[in-house]
Amino acid sequence: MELTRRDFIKASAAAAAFAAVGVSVLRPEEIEAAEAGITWGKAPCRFCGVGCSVLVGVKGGKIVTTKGDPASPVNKGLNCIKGYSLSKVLYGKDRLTTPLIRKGNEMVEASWDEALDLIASKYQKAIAEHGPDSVALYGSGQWTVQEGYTASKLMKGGIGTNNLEVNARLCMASAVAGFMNTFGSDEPMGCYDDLDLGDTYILWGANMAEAHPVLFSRLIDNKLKHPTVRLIDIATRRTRTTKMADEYIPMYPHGDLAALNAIIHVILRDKLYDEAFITRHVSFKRGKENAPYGLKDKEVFNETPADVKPLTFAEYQALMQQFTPQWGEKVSGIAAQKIEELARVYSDKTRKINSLWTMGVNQHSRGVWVNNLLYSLHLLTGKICRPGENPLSLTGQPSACGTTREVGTFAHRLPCDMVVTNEAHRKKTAAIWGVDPGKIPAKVGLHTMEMFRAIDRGELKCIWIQCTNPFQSLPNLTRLRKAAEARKAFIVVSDIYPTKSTELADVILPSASWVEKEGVFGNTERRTQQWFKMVEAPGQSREDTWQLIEFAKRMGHGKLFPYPEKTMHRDIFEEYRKFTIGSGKDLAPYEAYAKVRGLRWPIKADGTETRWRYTEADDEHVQKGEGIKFYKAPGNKVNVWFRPYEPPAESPDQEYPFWFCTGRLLEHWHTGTMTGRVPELRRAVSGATIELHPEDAKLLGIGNRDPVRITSRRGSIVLPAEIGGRGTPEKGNVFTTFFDETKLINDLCIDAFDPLSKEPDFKKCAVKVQKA
Amino acid sequence: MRQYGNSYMSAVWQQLATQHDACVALKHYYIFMLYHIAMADVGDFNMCIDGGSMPVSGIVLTCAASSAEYVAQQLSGFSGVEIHGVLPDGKIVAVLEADTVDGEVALVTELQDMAGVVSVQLAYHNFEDFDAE
Repeated sequence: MELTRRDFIKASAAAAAFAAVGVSVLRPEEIEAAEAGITWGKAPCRFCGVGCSVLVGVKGGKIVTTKGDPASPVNKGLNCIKGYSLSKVLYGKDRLTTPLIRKGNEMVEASWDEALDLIASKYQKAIAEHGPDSVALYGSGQWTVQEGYTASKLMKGGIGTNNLEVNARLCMASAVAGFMNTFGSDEPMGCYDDLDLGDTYILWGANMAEAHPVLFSRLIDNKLKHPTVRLIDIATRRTRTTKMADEYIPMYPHGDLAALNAIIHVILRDKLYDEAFITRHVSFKRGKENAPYGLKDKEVFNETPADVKPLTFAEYQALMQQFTPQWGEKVSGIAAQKIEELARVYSDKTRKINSLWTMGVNQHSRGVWVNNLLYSLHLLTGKICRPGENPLSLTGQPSACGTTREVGTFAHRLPCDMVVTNEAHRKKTAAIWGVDPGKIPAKVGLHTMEMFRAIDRGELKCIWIQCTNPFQSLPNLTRLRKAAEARKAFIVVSDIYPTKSTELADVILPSASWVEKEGVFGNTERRTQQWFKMVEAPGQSREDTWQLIEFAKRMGHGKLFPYPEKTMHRDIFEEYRKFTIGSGKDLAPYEAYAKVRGLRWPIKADGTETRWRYTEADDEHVQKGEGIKFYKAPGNKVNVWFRPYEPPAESPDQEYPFWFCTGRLLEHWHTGTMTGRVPELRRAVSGATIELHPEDAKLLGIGNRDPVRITSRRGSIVLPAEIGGRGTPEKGNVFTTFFDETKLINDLCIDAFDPLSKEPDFKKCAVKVQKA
Repeated sequence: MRQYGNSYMSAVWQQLATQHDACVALKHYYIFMLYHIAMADVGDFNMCIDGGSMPVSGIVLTCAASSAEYVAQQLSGFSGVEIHGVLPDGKIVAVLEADTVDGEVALVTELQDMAGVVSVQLAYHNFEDFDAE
């Protein structure tokens, strides 16, 4: 009987799945036949911060098939359901393919020259009349390393402004500040291997099953193989993660700040800490308190060295006495008994303890403080820097680490943990860039919330947005959209599909995406991954690096980018790499990344990767006999911070009695410009819903799928109710997702932000809920 | 056992028969699957539904080891799901077919929510006959 091509493809499908579970299957000719005409290449996934590797199959110039990359240590041949959209995502019907210029209410097709000339003329005019700080560039944790580096060099070394920000300000800024003020260096000391080697995992407000699915499945694999493994889910909402957890501990929103302090209180009270570790490695500090919430424009709050007071261990313990478990129960909703138990879990010498967190902790008006307290748990007990035992800050975007944090595309940053306010850092940067050190401004630029507010105030004249969708994703959205609609600034948007941001632009530029260009991403575990271009970008779309360099030429800064077209991606990376050599964040030569499934920095002298930082067992910067050494922290001593409880910016009251929380789900990613743009996938998860607790729903007379009106002080929206679905909030809480462009839920969100990280709190504000 | 001349399946069978640990459960399920194929209309089995726009994916379902058999039995009733193996550690290898990518995603979502299923992951996805609408 004859086998059809379909049979061959099915054989390949099964073979790939078998490979992923470690059963190697002899490949008969049928599988070879299925692969005929297909060229395979590797690339990190376009979506979340897990950084799975994908094998992309191209035939006839189009992507026709994808495989989880069996050679990747991250995902070992598996992808999550978003893998279905990876290749479809590039071929949606309304893909942008020509530059468009606004003429009245119409967007008119234009040539690249016309568009770029116009942008340059607007930027030049603004700079001439109002100075370089009247313009800005807003990029993305989905930018490649090359794109981010080009952006930074252009803005800070060419135009001479620090008004460079990225959407990672909205997701990882609190984590970054927590790393910097604790360890003196950004990014985790552990890696994904800890998920395979540990036995206790405590999740703080993180729905890993949906937000980091492949990583979660590694955790579950560990749990299924080793029945003593415990997973504790501390959250404000029951989710798919909860289903797999050994214990679910419900908590009030913002309660983490109280619970953590109470747990630390118990550790100190009962002497559960590791005294030797503390003496060797820990400094105690008290910072600036009574912090604001960023609700007023231009409000300034910084924690400078002058604001920081050193404490003795005894002073620290005295300050912590107020945070009793009984107090903790009142404020966090976690029972005092449970707080006592958690203190014992964290100090259990027979177990390997890991904490995992992401947006629940970072998108928090005291997010930096919560990050600090999580590290304190591990530092006081000495449970850190060991295989299978580490705190792990999870990342949301594919290159928030590799691009925005490592290259430093923020208003206050330079590459490799350096800052604009430091003269030596500016000098080092200027030397590599070949510019006058005086060019790089010492003054910190506008952070994201202030950047968009500045448009409303008429102070920011030009903004160029690349690879992100702020006019859907920012909080208190109405104010910012109104300002854009009133044409208060000249807005350029580079993207691949029409979005809620392109619809407000003066110029829309079509971008190349993912494997339509060469690039490098860096994931959560410090793994830098490279890929080559595999297909042509459609129509006239061009990669963002090209767009920025063409713009640079017109602005008179072309000589900053002398890279020949053929070797541009490699050349940019190698120039950036110079910053990292000897820093403890050392990167490998470009060619090395082309060959392997990524490498975790710091790269050692022999070219191999580092899995665990700060430990003599794996980190070359630590000498034999030194054990653990936090060599990036001043005096090699990390900081345990006293951080008090301060309330949320807005809590439920008589008029607005419910907590409003926002987040993501598995199938759609962020604002759904990619996953939602493909009609089939948009239909798969039909639209945003509002999750309610069944008892709350009953009291309000709301049934499943009934329209519900949710109103905050800032906005109002109607969503269908979801009761008894994959997620159930605690009583008095409602939850929704932000992927649906027809439902701008961020209109309701408050633009309160953490005073140190400037990261907005998307997880809590007050709403009223009624049947619509 | 009737051979349907599908050389892929027989090659897999041969390979797996030499891997002792895997072979017990897999043997069982191959017989199970072949039985179903034997019961199908011969005309259907030929599967000469050529090309068209039906995407194909290879997936791995993770179940607790004790639930895998039960899940596999449930799956036998799903159209568009073809089990290729059940491993002793609770993993099930299957091939999915649907009319559209939409359909594949809906199917995976349904499988994800089944009792006994811990996770469903994608290993391979092909849609080369699928036109962008």
